[in-house]
Amino acid sequence: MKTVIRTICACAAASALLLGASSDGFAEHEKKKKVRKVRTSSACSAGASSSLARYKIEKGEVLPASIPKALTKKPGNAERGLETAVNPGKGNCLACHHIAKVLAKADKSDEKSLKLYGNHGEVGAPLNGVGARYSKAELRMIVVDPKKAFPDVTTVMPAYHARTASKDVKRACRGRVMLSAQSVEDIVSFLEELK
Amino acid sequence: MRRHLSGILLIATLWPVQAMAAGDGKTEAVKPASGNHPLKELWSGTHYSTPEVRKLQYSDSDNPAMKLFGKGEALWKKTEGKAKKSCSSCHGDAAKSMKGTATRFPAFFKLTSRPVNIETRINLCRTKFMQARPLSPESEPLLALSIYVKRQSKGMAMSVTGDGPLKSFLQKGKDYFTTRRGQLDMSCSGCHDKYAGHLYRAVKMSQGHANGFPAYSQSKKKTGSLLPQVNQCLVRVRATPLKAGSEKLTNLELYLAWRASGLEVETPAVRE
Ligand code: HEC
Ligand code: HEC
Repeated sequence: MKTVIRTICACAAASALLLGASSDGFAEHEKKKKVRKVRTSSACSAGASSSLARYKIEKGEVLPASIPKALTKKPGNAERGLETAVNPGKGNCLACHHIAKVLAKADKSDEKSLKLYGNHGEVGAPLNGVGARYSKAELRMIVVDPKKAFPDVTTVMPAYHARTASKDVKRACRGRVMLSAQSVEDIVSFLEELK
Repeated sequence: MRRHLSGILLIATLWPVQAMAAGDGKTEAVKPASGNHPLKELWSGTHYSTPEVRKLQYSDSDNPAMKLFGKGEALWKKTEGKAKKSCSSCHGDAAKSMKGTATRFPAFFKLTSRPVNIETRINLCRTKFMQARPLSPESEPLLALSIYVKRQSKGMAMSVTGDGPLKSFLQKGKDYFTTRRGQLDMSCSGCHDKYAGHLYRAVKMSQGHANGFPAYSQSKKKTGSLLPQVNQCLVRVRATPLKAGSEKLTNLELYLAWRASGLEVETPAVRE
């Protein structure tokens, strides 16, 4: 099964290369995002409101799109990024991805630790080595809005810092983004170190 | 319970394979009945369960939801309401009259001009013909009757074509299944058509069929209809939940029944 996923991802990367080679139609990616008021919180229950960060999308090296500039002035913190990524109410990246570095943190003698760090998914490719496969700007684009980052716009990976036109959003989550700009920067720093 | 179970496991492993098969829920793939089906082969949710959970489901004495079957049998014969009738006064022996019913549901109900699922149909019988109060969603008596009725079709293949008056409702159910929703912007098909067999945070994702519902959930320690299961998926993607008896749920259930046609009725299933 894992080989199948890898093959899909390899195809995605290959077509990304092809796409990247021609700069046709790329201008539309360049349009600036306006600042909009959106709130963010863990699983949308409570939490401080924040705004959708202003970001500029540019062409990536391997992927069709990237965000070269950080969303926040404060640099990302990789350690905090790991915790945000595993938290089921925040990134919940483990729902779909295997990350060896996280698995290594799972303490087999502690049920809570095993549950938090030991339960991984295989919907997306394992994230081991993503820091070497993609630039920081591309990793940022992937977390912010994967439908723009990947050549496959039908990807099931959720957008963590973008306004989506999704239907039936649970009331507490309406008008909110999944992760704050700072959390995105933290996760990007964490991904960057997965080499 | 555990020790008892491993005893059964031992016997079962020594038993010839054939003894397990008939009527015990297929764990082999079935070809979809219709050509324009999103899945190449159908696998019951039971296929993705652990062997322990599967054994529990197949054992009438150990399956926790089978207690409700017994209660349903008693309720079937119980006179209720102003018309002083029971289910059996109209339908007689359920083993005969309800055989195959679950394979055809949700079915079109002429009096309301729309499809209804088994639970709604039971309540329509109560209010219209027995002049009794409807049973509340997820209540023990409603689950018991639903399991009792559906169990009469155990091992029979689901067979919903969605033709005639059902056509437009089936389409609505399909639209619901394939439309992205919730803050995560994900659709039912995005998980269950595309990634069945893959782990989702260490849980094996099934094809999302409804042929085993109502089912017993070990983690919730509770038997539930399809509704709480679908709502759990909707919570996962941070979408608004569905309501019992609603048109949206019934249409979705109709599409799920069409999508599972060919698989055996396994009610009541056991899930982790
Ligand atoms: C619901 C499933 C899902 C969730 C949750 C999810 N992803 Fe993904 N992710 C995917 C899929 C599927 C892909 C493959 C790309 C595609 O679909 O074209 C992917 C691809 C990626 C890639 C590129 C991997 C490669 O080698 O090409 C990165 C990096 C990534 N995800 C990071 C994350 C991070 C970080 C999070 C959490 C903040 C996350 N993902 C949450 C499904 C998910
Ligand atoms: C984010 C991924 C995801 C989405 C989206 C999703 N589900 Fe699920 N679903 C799961 C997981 C994980 C399970 C538990 C494992 C299993 O039984 O598949 C599950 C279980 C089920 C089951 C129980 C199957 C069985 O045999 O016990 C049904 C039915 C179901 N889902 C239907 C739906 C419907 C209908 C929708 C859309 C409203 C939906 N799902 C959306 C992940 C998802």
